[in-house]
Amino acid sequence: MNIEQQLGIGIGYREQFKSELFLNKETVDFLEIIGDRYLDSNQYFQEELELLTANFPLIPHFINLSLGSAEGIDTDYLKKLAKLINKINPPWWSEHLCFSKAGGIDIGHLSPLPHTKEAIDIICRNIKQVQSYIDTPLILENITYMVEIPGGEMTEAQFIGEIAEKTNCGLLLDITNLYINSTNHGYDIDQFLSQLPLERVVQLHFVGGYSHDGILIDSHSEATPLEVWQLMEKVVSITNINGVILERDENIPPFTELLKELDRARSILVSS
Amino acid sequence: MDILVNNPISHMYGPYFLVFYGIVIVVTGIGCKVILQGNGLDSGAEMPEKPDPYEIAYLRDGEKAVGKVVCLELMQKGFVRVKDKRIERSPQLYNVSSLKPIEKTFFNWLEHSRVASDVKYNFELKKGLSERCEIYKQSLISSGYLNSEQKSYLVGGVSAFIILGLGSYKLISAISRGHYNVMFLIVMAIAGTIWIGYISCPLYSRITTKGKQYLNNLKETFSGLTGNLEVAPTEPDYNSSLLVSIFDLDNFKASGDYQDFVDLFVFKSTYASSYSSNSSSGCSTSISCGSSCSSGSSCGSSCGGGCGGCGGCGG
Ligand SMILES: [Fe+2]
Repeated sequence: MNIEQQLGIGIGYREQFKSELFLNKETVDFLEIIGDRYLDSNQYFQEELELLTANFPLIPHFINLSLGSAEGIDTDYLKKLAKLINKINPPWWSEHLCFSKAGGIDIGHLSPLPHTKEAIDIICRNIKQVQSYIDTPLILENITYMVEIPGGEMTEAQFIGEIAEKTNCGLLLDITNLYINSTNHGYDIDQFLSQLPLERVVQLHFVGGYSHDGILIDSHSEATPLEVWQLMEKVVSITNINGVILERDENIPPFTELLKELDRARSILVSS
Repeated sequence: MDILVNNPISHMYGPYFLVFYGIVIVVTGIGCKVILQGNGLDSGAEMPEKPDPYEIAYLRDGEKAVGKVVCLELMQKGFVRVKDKRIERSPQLYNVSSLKPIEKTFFNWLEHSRVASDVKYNFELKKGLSERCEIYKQSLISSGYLNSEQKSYLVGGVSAFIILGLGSYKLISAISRGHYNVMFLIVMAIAGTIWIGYISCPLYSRITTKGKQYLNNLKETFSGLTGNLEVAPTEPDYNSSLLVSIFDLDNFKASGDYQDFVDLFVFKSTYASSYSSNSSSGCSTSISCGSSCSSGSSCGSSCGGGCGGCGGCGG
């Protein structure tokens, strides 16, 4: 896995700020789009995709491939996904290390996998199948989890690292998820980073969540907290990053607030 | 010279020639349309970062639309006001040198108060704005969004020459051979020429397919933009000017002086605006028009399949 292209600082595209985004297009280096939105031939979304493609470099981010499903990959979904990636021709694309379908049923959220050898075998088999359809490099994102699945045979970082090495995938390190998990499950971020193949990290996600009864919630609804900014500084100082995405989904503030966060991320990336 | 008298066309049997002539007319018409409108393959989807409202207004509806945007800009800058349903200069000191040339043209024309229809139809203003809009016109032509009148006339002229030339030749050839049943030939030549005239007339062929697509993309992109004409702004509000340039003034939310301004221009076109807002894009031309997305896609725009905010979605 060798990705050369440096995309810079971007934002996860949300329709709510489309107008402001286009009025500030020079300050947004690239967009991450939710690929699932454009899989069907809905004219409105296809026109939107055409508009976005003509104006920004795009990275498709998927949420429903369910790489961790023991029953394998939904090939109809995979074929549509491959067609879309071919059409966009991005330098890389991303999915989550999780499962979102079980027994053919969409369970509606991203569920964690047990950190076991068996889970690694399943996910590697699925990723190999995906790679047989799509040449564009796949990068894998770490998710948050409320409960750690019992019976784990290794740490989360070792689990992620081994999958990336075995499948030659890159990593999408969601530093907000890392901060949330480390706080909620009481593990050391430095140790996590030391066990991760950092040279495989291609892209970062960052955003803010909220705290409920002492538990951090990954709501994508708040400004990025100081701890996540510090973590970004740390990560970009120890490895090369090709792109950074602000992933704000809820409680979206005036676009100028988002631009301030992008500027801050840019200054961190530039000074690294 | 023998070839002019003895060739397949001059000898062609009448009904066969009419079929051939019909094909020539259709092919010429389609060719004329493709040259003027473009092939539709270039979608005009690339947006400038800060689209120029005057340029967009000019593309959409020429000097008429530009006049409204200039008037709005001058109102926001405090140079112009609406009083008793008339547009007039504000009673204050102004620094005219701060205005753009096109704004100066409008301001100078407003020596005495005017009604809304003057902004749309006054010859003197149209001529003045037309000169100032030349820069926008050239830019839009070079981007492939507009056709120049010269191009329309040239393409239409050549197309009409082909149709009339071929028809006249056959007519002379037929009559010289003593065939006088030429009514269909004459009707086809006239109908074909009228059709070409319609396709190539500058009024109809002014905006190319790429230009129309660009306007649609602007509507789609900026439908969620909000302007600020409900309180008096301290400086020109770019968003408001952009919205008027793209959507015109139909359903424009405003208050106070700005409402008077909107009422001036919208009053007579109530029927037209209500008609147009019911058509095509699924989004009316309101300044506060929200998203026109109505799809049943399983994925909204939030994280992890629309679960943003559910807590712990993990994406
Ligand atoms: Fe993420």
